[in-house]
Amino acid sequence: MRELFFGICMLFGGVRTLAQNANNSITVFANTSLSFILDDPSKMEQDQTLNNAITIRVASKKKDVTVSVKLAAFTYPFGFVPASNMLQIKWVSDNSNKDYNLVTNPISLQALDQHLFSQEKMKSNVQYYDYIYDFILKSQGYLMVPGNYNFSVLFTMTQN
Amino acid sequence: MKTILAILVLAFSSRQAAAQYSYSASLTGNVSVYAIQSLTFTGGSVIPSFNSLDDYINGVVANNYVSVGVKSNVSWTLSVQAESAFFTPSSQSGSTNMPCSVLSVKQSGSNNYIPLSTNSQTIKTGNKGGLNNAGNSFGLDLRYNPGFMYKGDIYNLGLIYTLTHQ
Repeated sequence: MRELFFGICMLFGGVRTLAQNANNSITVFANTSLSFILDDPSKMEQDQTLNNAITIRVASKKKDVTVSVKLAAFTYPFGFVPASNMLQIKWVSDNSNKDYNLVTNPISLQALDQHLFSQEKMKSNVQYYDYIYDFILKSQGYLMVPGNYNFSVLFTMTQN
Repeated sequence: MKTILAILVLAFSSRQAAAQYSYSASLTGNVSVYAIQSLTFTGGSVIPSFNSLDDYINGVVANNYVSVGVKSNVSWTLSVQAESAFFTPSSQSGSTNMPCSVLSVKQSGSNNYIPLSTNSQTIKTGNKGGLNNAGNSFGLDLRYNPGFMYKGDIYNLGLIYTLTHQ
């Protein structure tokens, strides 16, 4: 009986997280590879910015939605202590006239969801709106030891 | 059994009705960091004068003759070696047999001068960091002590400083 209950809960959770329908959707594009190569002192000492690196495409045909972002995974070489502001995204532009509570300042990616913007229910003749973001690697000075740092950024749209 | 199933179905239905549907999408990326080291010198052009008997007996010291800055994202070692085994006189009247070991170098503030040779010798080690990191900015002292063995002249010797990671 416990197994049955657990199975039902898993099914329920899976539907909520993964479903995406014609009325509501979020699609994220990397307009350029989200890769940084630090191979000389100037790159270690200055912030590295990938301009217009990310497009978040949101359709909200049913209700208002809220979009958030978090650092879902981050692996790094032994001996490195990550700073809380190492990776950032910054709003650049959008073609939406339905957004509100839009955060325009740089947002430091963390393990917890952080609000990006909200979008009102769209008119039926609109397919989606695009939001463009810069992706920024903040300088850590010479504290970044040699090696590969891999990360995954998760964008979540929640229907209000 | 029926009762339990009914409760489960009710719970499921009620949560779905109140649910905030969340849809997610992700991107991945990476940062590749190489071993990076930078070495800077400020100053370093020193021509000591031997004007008194005491200068020949005890040698001449140039304190802080150069300021050194190290930037490195790995632990580092700074070493020094002479470019040649002997000083080069500026004129034909000078001695050609004055060895590089009459010149010694040490980190400012330490006590141990290191006589130069054509073999690389460690002056200082340090930890990763920029110029503001403790120990990554420092001065070097030189001591010239040729004694009375060599003719008067202006002598030249090149020094090679090498920064490596530990």
